[in-house]
Formats: sequence, structure tokens, C-alpha cells
Amino acid sequence: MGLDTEHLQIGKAVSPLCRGAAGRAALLFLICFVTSFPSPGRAQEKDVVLPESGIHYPGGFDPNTVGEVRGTAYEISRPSSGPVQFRLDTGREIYTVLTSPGGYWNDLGASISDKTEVVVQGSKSMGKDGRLYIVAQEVRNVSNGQSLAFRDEDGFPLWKGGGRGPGGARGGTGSSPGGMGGMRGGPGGMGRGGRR
Amino acid sequence: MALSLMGVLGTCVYAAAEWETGGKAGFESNVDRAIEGGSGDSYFSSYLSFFRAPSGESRTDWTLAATLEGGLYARFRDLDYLLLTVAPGINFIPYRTWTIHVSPFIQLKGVKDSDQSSLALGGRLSMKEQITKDLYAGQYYIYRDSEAREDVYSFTENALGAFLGMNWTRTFFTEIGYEYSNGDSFQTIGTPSTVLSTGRGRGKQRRFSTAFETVIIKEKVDRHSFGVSAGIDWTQSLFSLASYTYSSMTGDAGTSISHAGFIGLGYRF
Repeated sequence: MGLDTEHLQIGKAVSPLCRGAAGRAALLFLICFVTSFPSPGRAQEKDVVLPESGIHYPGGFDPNTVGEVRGTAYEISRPSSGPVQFRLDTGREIYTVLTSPGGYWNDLGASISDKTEVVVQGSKSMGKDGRLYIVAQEVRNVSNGQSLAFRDEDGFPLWKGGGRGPGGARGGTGSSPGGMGGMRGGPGGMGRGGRR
Repeated sequence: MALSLMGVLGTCVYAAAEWETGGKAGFESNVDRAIEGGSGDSYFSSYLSFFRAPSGESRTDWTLAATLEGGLYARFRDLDYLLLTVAPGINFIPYRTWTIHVSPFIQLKGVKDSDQSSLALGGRLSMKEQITKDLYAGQYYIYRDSEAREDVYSFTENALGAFLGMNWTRTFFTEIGYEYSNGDSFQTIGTPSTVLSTGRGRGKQRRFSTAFETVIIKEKVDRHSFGVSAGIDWTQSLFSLASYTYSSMTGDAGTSISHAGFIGLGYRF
């Protein structure tokens, strides 16, 4: 029951777009484009490893190590890429708190500065540099009560959005069948991936 | 210009690139777009997709979606098709709960009834808002210009749509959507004898379709579509999706109604 490809005549289209050299060039371009995509093996590389700590970001959240610490924030750092981070002095230990990308931090209107007393909930780990780290789920400013949520209860980064559906593209007035190919509707649709 | 392009391309380090494959079994009640009656058919299709999704780590990021899909119809075998879609795009996050995505696309479609084989160019502009932690909404505009081998199957369309989705649990979501589209479409107006007797499609571009074994015309139509979807993530890789769409398409010759649905199983890797 294979598709009768002998009868699939993309190249025989009569309209100017479909028939001429432009159509063949477009087809050749598409084939080259598709075959140049990274292999499935590379497709797994969704995290980066933060250089000093060796912690995977943004995926390095372990629900089994979630805890809460209270202390004083200082040395807030906003690297050009990677998470906004700050040190947290609890009186007994010093943690490095990893939060979110700078854009998300700004949108939250975070009011944390040096010497702000905060409560941090997150996944604790020891970095390869021997320091203690917390991948923050929530940071609460004790002085003004502001609560900053960075991850959901499963540790999924909230800056990645939550939509998973096809997001529209319910067909077209033209050729049948409707839709844009694949399972999820529109090309390059946003919101894919959601919580995974 | 070059610097801004480098800035966009330089954000790829956290990107989620992945492949997806799957199959879906579907039904459409009016594949020939008949104004009266209509012929239903079921189909099975399978696809392979590559996605380069925005990471969310920077406000601006580029995306890429490419899908190769093949479909087989149970009755109207002339509608069997191969479809290649490539859609690069730019994703912009003005605010943490608001995303804008713009994506041109190109579609090559080969149909067993070669009259319907086509090359389409278009673009999609979409927005998505995260209303609450689990509730989201979106709006989109699609322009598509498709040139088929026979002009009666060619069309230009402008579509506006909106959707509302809910993540009920971590692994289950539902979505409802509405789409309005204005553009060209073929419609089946009956056999040659009924066409002559009713006078339908007079003055329109018309042709006898060997695929549908009836007379079709091409005219400007307004289409309203309502849809619901539901999906389950069975594992991190395996998921399923079910969708139903009701469409009403109205032109000078009349209105055609369609009920379409599918269930699908997909695998990400």
C-alpha cells in the first residue's frame, strides 16, 4: 500500500512557480536544507554545563534535593548568557543561587540587592568547584514579602512557557487536506515543548 | 545589521533541537468540498519533523521547523500526497508571559492527482500569552499563496485565528480554537448535468475533476473553523493527540460543511 510516487509530479507543475528553474532550484535548496540538519544524537543537547560549577543549566534541577534556606544576598551577578545568580550567606554556609535568564528576572521586577534578606527554595547541589549551589525554584524577599517564582513544582523553568497544543492552523481554504503538516499544526509554531 | 544577526544566531547554545516522528489516522466528511452532500473519506499519514525551538533563555531567538509528511486516503486514492514544509522563524519575548513569533514558510506538495500538486509560499505571525500558570491563549495570522498545476486548485488566503489552551496536568492538555479565512477555494457543485440544470458556478473558473469525478469551480470563499484538541504525554518522548474541526465555507455558489478529526501518536527524539 505504498504511495505511488511515480504519480507525484511536483516537478511537472505548470504554473510559473512550479514549472521553471526556480521551482527546481527551490526543491534542490529544500533537500540540501533538510539533509544538513543536525543528527538526532546532537538533538539531546538541551542544557549547557556551567563552567565553574559543572551544573547543568537549565535542566540541573533535582526534585530529590529540594530544600529551603534563609540568608543574606550579596554579589548579584548578571552574565550576558546564563542565569542571574547571587551569593547567599546563611551564617553557617555560603550558597550560590542560580535563578533565571536576565530578561525573565527583569520582567519579575526582582527587588533583590546586596544585603537583602531572602528565603530561597530550590534544588541543592555541590559544584565541581566544591561550592554549594541552589537551583532556585522560588526566592522570597523577607523585607517586602515579594515572591519570585522561577520554576514550577516539578522544577520546570517558568520562562519556557507552558503551552503544548497545536496552536491553531486548522486548515486552509485551498488544497486538501488542511493543516500545515506534522502533528502540531502551524510551521514553526511557538509554545511547542511546553513542559517536558 | 550583521551584529544584530549575530546576536540572534548567537543564542543557539541553549536551544532545544529535536526530531519528531509519528502517524495519524483521520476522517474528513467532505473531502470534495461539495455544496450539497459531500463525500467522506479516511486517511492515514505519517511524518518526520525537525524542530529548533526557542530556548526562552534570551528575548530573541531563531526557530526552524521542517516536516516531511505522506498521506494515504482510503477511497479517494488520487488524493494521496507527499508534503514538505520548511519554516524558519524569529521568536521574540517582549515580556515573560508574551511571545511573538514570525515565520515565513515554503510548502511543496505532490499529489497523486498531479493537477493538485503545488508550491506554496507564505508567512505566519503569531502571539501567545500565558494567562496563568496553566492557561494560555494565542492569536495568529497566516498568509498563503499556493500555485497548483491546475489553476482551479491554486489559491491565495488570509487567515486569522485564535486559540485557548489549558494544561490540566503535567501530561494532559486541551485546546480550543477558531479560525476565519478568506481566500480562493475549489468547491464541488455537482455532476455536469446538475450544473447545467441549476446554473451553479456560472461565470466561475470550472473544471471536471478526475479525482472527485465531478465538476469543481474556484471562487472566493469565507471559511469559519472551530476546533478542539486534546493531548497526552505518555512519556517524555511518546505523546498522542486527538483533534476535531468543524468548518463552514461559503462562496457565491453556496456553503460546504466539513467535519474533520484525527488521532495521532508521535515520538520525539
